Amino acid sequence: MPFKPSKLLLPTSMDDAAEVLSENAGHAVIIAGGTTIYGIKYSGLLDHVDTVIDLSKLGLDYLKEEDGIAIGAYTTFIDIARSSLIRSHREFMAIVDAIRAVPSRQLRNMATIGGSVASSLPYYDLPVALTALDARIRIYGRSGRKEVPILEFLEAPLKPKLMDHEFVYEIYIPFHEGSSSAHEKFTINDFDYGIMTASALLTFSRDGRIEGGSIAIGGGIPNLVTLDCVKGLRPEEMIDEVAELARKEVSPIEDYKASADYRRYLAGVVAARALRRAAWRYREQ
Amino acid sequence: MSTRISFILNGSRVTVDVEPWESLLDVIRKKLGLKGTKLAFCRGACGGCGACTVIIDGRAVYSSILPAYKVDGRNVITIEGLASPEGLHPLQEAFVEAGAIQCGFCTSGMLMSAKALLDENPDPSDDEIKDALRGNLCRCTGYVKIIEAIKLASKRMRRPAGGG
Ligand code: FES
Ligand code: FES
Repeated sequence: MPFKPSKLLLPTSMDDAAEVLSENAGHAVIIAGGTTIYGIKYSGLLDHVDTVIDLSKLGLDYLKEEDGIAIGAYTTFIDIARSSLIRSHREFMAIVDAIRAVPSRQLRNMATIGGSVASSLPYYDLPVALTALDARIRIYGRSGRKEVPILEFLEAPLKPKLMDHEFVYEIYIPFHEGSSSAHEKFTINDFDYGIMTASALLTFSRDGRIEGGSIAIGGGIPNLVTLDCVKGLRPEEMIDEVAELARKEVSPIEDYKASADYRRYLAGVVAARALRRAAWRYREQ
Repeated sequence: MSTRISFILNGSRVTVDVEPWESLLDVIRKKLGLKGTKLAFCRGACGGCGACTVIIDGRAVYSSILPAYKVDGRNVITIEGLASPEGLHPLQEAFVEAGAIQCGFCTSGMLMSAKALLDENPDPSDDEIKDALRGNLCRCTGYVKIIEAIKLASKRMRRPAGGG
């Protein structure tokens, strides 16, 4: 049967939500902005679903500062990209880049950070930026709260690391003093998902050398990949090395848009561009 | 199991029963009879062509991929809410004058995206206009005249009526 759920549940407390999730395990789906679910509704992947669970009554629409930034799962892309909490930190600019990489204003008005992360799709931009920034996914379930590093959470496409009764309620991003970040997306047209994408976070010492940082790569690969940046080098000394490493680490998919070889080549291109832009941003902004 | 929702549609309150899977677009077109909002190139699956754009609480969204129950208690404007009894909206006039309409299928969506933009930013730059229209496809005009029309409307709307 095609996706045509007959039941809609709108729990009003976190415990309620965990309860209805476990009661409906196996035939329910959580809906946030709805853009992923509607996007894949003809794919057959949701044909077993007869219940939609909407958590919009839990008040999960916020950004707050707490030794880093905590963002409620139902906060829309547009509210995040416009937030001064985000924009006042160079190290968070990969998030703004990743949201701008979403081709349409309408989607940015609808899509949420929780939906983007919990879809666990390697070609979504925002999770790549969050991975470079070392975000942690905050999860609620019958046994209370827990926190999982994003890379561990994004287990497989459309299969995040969540138990039946669990849901994402918040995304936490630590501050990275003296750092800047950037996200790059490579597409063949403005409307498409990234063929390959990369986000870079660079931490600098006072003399402009790299203290640390990481690069996350996404797009047409089954799982996101991260690379560590080499300490003690200047960004320009690192570019070729990073591009080469990126090409070595990814195992891209192959489809009508790009061959695996081309994607592998692009992994190096986007990694180098993200690195260059993060370094430029550190100097110029 | 249908849910009864109530919201403001183009200034008047409407109450309607909707199913969990029904999109706002289907409810507006089929249950409320307003046919100006279109379902176009993307068949309401991936979302992206923008023909179905409506404005909810000041923000442009795709009604084809928005579950209708989500607009309960909110304020929705469709293309039918743009003109007033006195006449067309300045954006509609500018689209006609600038030749920004050919087959017209994308037009209602384009106008709603443009309205959301001008309501928020009365004097947008070319880049801001292009960014606001990134989520709307037109297969006829080539966009140049649409951008011109929005600039024309923006200019007129900022100038008091009758002023030079
Ligand atoms: S019909 Fe809604 S985006 Fe195309
Ligand atoms: S006028 Fe025909 S699609 Fe835009």
